[in-house]
Amino acid sequence: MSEWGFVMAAYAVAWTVLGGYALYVRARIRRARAMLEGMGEGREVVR
Amino acid sequence: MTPVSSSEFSGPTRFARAWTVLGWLAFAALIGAHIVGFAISRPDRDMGHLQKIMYLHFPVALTAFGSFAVVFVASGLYLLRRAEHYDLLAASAAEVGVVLTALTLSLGSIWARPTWGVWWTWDPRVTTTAIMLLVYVGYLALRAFTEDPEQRARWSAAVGMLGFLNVPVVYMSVRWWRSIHQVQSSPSTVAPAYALSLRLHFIAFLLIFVYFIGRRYHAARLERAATAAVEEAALTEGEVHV
Repeated sequence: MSEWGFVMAAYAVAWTVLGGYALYVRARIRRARAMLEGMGEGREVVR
Repeated sequence: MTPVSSSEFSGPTRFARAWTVLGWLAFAALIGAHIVGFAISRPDRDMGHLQKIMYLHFPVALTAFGSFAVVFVASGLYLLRRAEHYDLLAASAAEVGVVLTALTLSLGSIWARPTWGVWWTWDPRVTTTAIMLLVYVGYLALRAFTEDPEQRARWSAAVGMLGFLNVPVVYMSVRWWRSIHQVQSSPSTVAPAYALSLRLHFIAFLLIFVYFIGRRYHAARLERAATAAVEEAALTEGEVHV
């Protein structure tokens, strides 16, 4: 592999990890928020 | 232990927009730093274009250290005050630190292959960094396998503080032992042609570091509030239908 091949691989790995983690955290926030909203709606039904 | 209240998450998140802007700004700053780095960095005399990996490897490693410093401080504050938000902050920073340390090692490995001739070597810096990664993976495993929240917070705070002892060892390893890894560098120790790009990458990764820890902490608080709401619903079974 050429010098540029290693450089591009490094940048690709960095963006994959950073972007992947950002999406993972976003998904966790959405899931927890949906769960909380679901609980809130459940209470509304009873009231 | 001061619990997280579920009521504080009942409405739209107050700073959600600000966090979104910070996220976009952080990643835009990283793209901008890349553009500057690629546009103005001449090939290094010894490493050629491989020098450009430094713009990622070094700032990512420093932000990993920063994450573990947050774990250390938040763990200490938890042990002093027993407030749950310190525990959640420590756990969030530990996860971010693990991701950044794994990335540091991956980037170092990609850089090592063409410069040292190997993907991996038991060099003091590389080995102590791998130990640091394992310590904090252990911290996260401890949290995952401990059921009782108070016990989990107490034990992981102790591990979070003790684990930090290895961070200065990682930093100083290149001076304390014979290492093929270069000694610590900074924008003031690199060639002037590379200093600007390195500084810009530092700023970008600092923004990403703040964004990641802030968002992960927010996720942790939401999850804790959701768990509390589920427990509350279980206690008043029959009144809540989800």
